Amino acid sequence: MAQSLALLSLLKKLMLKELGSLSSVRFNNFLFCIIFLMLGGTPKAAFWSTLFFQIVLLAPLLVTFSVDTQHRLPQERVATWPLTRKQRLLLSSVSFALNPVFMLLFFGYLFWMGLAAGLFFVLLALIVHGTVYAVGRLPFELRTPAGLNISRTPLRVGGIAQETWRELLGTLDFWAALLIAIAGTLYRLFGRAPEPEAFPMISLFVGIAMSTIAQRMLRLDEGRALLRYRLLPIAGWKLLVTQDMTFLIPLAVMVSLLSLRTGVAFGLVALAAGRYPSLRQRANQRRWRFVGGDPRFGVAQVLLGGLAGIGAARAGLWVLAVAFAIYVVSIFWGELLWRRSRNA
Amino acid sequence: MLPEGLGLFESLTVIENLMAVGPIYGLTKSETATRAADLLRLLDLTQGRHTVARNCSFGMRKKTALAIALLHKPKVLLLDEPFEGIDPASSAVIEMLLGQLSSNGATILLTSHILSIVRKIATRVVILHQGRVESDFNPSTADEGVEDVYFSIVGEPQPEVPDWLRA
Repeated sequence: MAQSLALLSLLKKLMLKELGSLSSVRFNNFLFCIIFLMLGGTPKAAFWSTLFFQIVLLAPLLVTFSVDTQHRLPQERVATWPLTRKQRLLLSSVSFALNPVFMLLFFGYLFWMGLAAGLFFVLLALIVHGTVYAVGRLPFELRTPAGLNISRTPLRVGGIAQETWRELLGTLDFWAALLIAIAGTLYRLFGRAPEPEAFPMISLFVGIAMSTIAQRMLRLDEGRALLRYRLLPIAGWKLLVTQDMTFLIPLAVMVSLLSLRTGVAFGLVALAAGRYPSLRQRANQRRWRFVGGDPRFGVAQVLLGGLAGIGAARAGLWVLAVAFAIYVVSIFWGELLWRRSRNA
Repeated sequence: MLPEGLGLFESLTVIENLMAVGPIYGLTKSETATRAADLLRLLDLTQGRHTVARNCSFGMRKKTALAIALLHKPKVLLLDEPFEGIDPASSAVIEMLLGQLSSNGATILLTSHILSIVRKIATRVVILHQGRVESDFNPSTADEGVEDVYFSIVGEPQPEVPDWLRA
């Protein structure tokens, strides 16, 4: 009993100290947009009709809570405690459920959307936590397939692209965007009467889901490679373009069957608008979380990028050319900022 | 340069870190591969070469960063605590490597708190204390040993072990 109380007390202290789950979802463009959309409908009626978006929103969010739990109770440390396997799993689950944001969401769903929605939330949470717990204990290491090894290409900057790509895969923004893109593409290919007007909007949503990453391109690995970038004899613009292409190409692939020009125009403007915080702000990104951005630049990314995306879909390719011009200007400006920060 | 923060690409493996940096220093891919294999063998990293930097031990990370620093055979090497957290065998290899580079004309500036190694390899020792240069000498010609000079500047430690640890 005394042991359990000591563990619970330790968990409480760790959670209150960290509350990383909350800070990690602050000012993420995608989450803001989802919340905005949800507030627009009648909450209770909107819940089941927007179930897909609920899952897209909740599943990655629950992953962050679960990852936080694993981080709070590191395997190596817990293994040294005098606990059985069952007790360890129970401890991990209690820690997961005690997360204040988790509780807030649970009671929110329960009171505002009913018992069924509350139970749905708990079921989804159990599935997500069980999956994260199991993946963290796989007896083998998950590796990127060799076919995706960009560093084997003849590009001199292939290694930088590879590093950026792998860090991109460690953000929840990327997976949320992929989920929307897959669902949208399936809708286009297999929907009964797919509405063509919806494709640019879905592309835009894919772009918005990824856009906060553009504000943290240089710090996706908690800023550790930044030191190496500064030491390497490479021009700032080359570094920026390499990283940007690692963002833009997957985005283009995701929206390729929806509205390519919308996605690319949005992506170019989102990269340009995210240039300043990416180069100047010291906000490190932790793995398996949504990227936290600066709301001022987030609004600029969504509004200007949205204009460019919709414009490219409706007004034609010249809007895409304008978006590209804005991007090129941001590269030149980024080069100046990079030189300044390197010499500082 | 071997910086304190090491500056590794965290999601790349040890070998990928070297392969990523070589071409940027102007080496061809095959040159980089040959040099990387040599350095990994020398620093006893061959077995762990496919480990992602994020999952490496401190010693492996340090040796990877050192291998990156040596990859393009620089004329000037700045090393921050190159022997800290390194196993004795690799430490001996690094000592030998630095000696070799130095005799080939490279300039090496390193910081270290391991005075026994400093005494062995340095041709000039500068002791900094509270941000000021307190001593600057050649250890092979000095009357006193490096430790003696160091402790005469910073004072001998006087630890007070608590009773519960003594009993």
